[in-house]
Amino acid sequence: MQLNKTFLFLFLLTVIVSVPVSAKTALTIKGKSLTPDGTMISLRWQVREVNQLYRFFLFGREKAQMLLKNGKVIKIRRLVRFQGKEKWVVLKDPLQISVELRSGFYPFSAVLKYRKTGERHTKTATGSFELSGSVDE
Amino acid sequence: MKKITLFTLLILSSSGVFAGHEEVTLAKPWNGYWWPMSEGMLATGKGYRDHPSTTEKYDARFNLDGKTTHWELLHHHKPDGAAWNGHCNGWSAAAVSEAEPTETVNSKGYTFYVGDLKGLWTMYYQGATGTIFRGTDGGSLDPLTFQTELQANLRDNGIPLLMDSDPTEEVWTWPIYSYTMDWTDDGDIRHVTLTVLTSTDGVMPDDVNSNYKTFSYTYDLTLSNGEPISGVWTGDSLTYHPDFCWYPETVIPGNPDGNPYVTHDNVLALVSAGYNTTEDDSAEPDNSFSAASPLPGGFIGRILNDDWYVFSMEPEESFTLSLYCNSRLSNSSNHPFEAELYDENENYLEDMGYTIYRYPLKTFTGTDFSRRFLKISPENNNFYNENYQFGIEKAGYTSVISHTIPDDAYWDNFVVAGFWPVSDGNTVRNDSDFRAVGVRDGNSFSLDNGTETITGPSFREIPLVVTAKGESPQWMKLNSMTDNYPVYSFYLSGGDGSMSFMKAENPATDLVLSHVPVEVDYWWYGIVLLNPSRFYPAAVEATLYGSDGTELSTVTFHLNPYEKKVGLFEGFFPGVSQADVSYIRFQSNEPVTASALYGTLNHKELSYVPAVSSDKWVFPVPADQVGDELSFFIPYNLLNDAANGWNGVVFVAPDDDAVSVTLNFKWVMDDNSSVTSSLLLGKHRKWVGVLEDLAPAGVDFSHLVRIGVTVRSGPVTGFYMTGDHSKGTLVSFPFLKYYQTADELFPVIQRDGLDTIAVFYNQKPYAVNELPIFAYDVNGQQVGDTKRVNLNAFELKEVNLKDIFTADELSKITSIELYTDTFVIPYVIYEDPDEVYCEIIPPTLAHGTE
Repeated sequence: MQLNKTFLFLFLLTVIVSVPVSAKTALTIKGKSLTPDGTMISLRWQVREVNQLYRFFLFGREKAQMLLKNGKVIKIRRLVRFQGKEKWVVLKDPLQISVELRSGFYPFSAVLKYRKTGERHTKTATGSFELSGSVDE
Repeated sequence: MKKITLFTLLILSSSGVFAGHEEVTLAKPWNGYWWPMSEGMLATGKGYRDHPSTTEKYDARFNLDGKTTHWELLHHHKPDGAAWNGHCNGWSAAAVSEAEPTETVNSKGYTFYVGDLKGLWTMYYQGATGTIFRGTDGGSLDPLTFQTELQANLRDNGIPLLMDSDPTEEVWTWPIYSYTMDWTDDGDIRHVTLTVLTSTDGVMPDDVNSNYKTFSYTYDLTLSNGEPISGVWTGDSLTYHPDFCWYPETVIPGNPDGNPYVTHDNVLALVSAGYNTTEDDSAEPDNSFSAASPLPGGFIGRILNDDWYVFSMEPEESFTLSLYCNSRLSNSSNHPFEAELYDENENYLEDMGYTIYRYPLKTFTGTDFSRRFLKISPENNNFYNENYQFGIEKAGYTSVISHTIPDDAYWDNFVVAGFWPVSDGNTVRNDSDFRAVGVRDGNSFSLDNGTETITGPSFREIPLVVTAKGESPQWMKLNSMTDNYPVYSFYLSGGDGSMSFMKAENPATDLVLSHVPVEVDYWWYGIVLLNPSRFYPAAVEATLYGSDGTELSTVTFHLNPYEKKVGLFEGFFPGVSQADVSYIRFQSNEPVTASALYGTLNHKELSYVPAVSSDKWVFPVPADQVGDELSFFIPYNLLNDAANGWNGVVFVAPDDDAVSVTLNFKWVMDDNSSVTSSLLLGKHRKWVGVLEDLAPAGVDFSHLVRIGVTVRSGPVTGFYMTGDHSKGTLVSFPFLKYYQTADELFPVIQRDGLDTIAVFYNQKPYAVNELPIFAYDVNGQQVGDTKRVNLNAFELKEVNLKDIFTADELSKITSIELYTDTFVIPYVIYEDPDEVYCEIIPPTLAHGTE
């Protein structure tokens, strides 16, 4: 009987934690990011997710994407300006992805942490993030 | 031009040691200047093409009222800053993000050279940010992260990578467009030699070339199953290696590092413009002698058609008019344009253009009111695409009274001006010349009969002449080639009895009116805003703050040269409730004056409060200074009438960068006992009230002498206000800095039944003897003997001049000099025996010792 209670508790916990891993997610993320001039600047991101493709919006414009497969990041895309035109920068190499996830500009790691643990606060080497707003099913 | 070269080679030697080689080369980002902040040359033009500078042309092209230039001068011109501080990160970000400007363009009549365009892109991208890659611990960059990002950007995505090459606090940013990597594996250790090529900022602003820089590094990577998992710098790279690397992902609106007035759309519009066009903007005169335009300081015109300008000269003033042109070469006989001076009858006088200087310039010294006409015309049309600009530098001194009402039905207005023959350096001078000038509707005219000379300390009355045309001045000024004059304008209302004064102000670009009163039907609240320049238009941004410190609104006022705007609060800020506004900050591209006027509808009371410029804000004392009364003090009960007197104070925390204001008070009583208290103000907050509301328990106001203040955090600004209910007096008094001696010259007023009363207020707990009173006539000659005053501890002593001088002496006196000691405040009270009028003149503390 005791075993069944523990099992039930773990089952419920699993369900609760897995809520963010839904088919559709919309998050608001407030970030503080280090600039090349050494100051911290506040950013406000909007994140939408469809089928494990997370799209990151800044000032209403899509700036990055993060694609997961089986809970693992397999591709990151960032939109940059290069020689007067916009260009998608694509990261597939695991080492390159891991370095990117440590960064403090895009809130990739904040989303992953929230997805994995439900925690809304993430601190990186050059920034910090706080998730707020709603999580839509 | 797109160029990508990728080459990778792996070698397995007979000894089993792996070796490898990898190189990648992209099209090189453009070279550009780093615009050091010690020079501020994007705004000043110094060291590049001088005037018109890059930002001056940008402001003119996009009608920005000089805001871009003002912001850049304020934030990115640091003559005393670190030598390495500059725009290298902005240039690097621009060089990878945008195509290289390679041609001069002309946009709506404004010519932008390659350096201008690269500079504007640099200013825009100075606000760029993106992922900052540092070491795994957040410290300086480790070699594995650096290599990973080089490969991610250059090899895998064909974009450069920016690096800060200096591991110290200095930041030197370079765009890497090529790398060559060679390595050998020795077991689980990989020895790597890396060479990177970067674009360079070691060029002139207009350069378009292929120069580059080379950096070489060595490091070891630790391998696990053949894959690198960590790295350490080796050899010289241990101490000199990149600090961080990044790529500009976005330019954040509101980023404090970037000039907010330089926008992507505007710069893109400029770089996309053509050349050899004949278009210009609507401000270009293209006129004739008969239609000559007033000559505006800083104006940028185009050398395409004839342009005629007219300007006036005033007596006892001097100014230098410079004509700038970006293309003029030093000591060149190749002139970009003609510049000819004409008199009012279109008679040719002389040519300003043919000088050996890079820029034609001429100094004008006025002896009387006159006008000159200037004709700018192209010479051989070689430079028709170019711009010229006027620069005007004034010499001499101007003292401004911003509000005169000589022909008002209610108010009797008279003005006195004094010569104080002691310069700021306490050098005694013998004489001084001045001319009084009135201004109405932008035109100046004489208020006196000619140049006046004063040979000693003296005040004399300035006539506010109503001219033959029936004109009277809306404001007035004193021109002098040698001295700054104290000038007082007095206002008397005989009806219900009121007296006020306005003192000559120093124009400034950042001013705070510390108090906007709540609306009471019986009171009115007005504002006077004046642009005292005859040449430069002013754009004044007024920011209204609410009681909770928030910005309620910002309103911009455009003042033409010599323009005054005066009116009630609701006239300045229609639609804004005066009750919601706490205080006002005026920020202008040109020096202006701003004042508040308080009055009652029955003319019983009137007071004038000048706005305080930011250089007069009181900043915190150093943290290691302990003690009380370290910043300034506020005297109490100056009218010596505790029964009917009232005393109020206003404190404002005006600074955008300060978190709060902390004030420590010491309330000193006339038995030398004291009580302490403190006040904390949040950013942009105000405290206003009578002193009874500020005082802590234990303060006996019947014995209060002064309040000493120490500013512990800040800065703070504000004023002290005192009045007398029975006399209808209301006067603002500045916060008094501490001084050793004070040496003050006050006007003596002998009209409308007024007595002049010299006052010494001893704030010390012991007696002071033999303080002198000197009296002078209109020519600065001493009248009568020097009088002496003795003071008991904490005594306020009023000395009516008619009690110490004979009637004959008194009839000659126009000024008195009061010389006092530490903590003895000298001031004067004007009062008539019937107490219809009463007014206090505070000390200036401009002379004496601190």
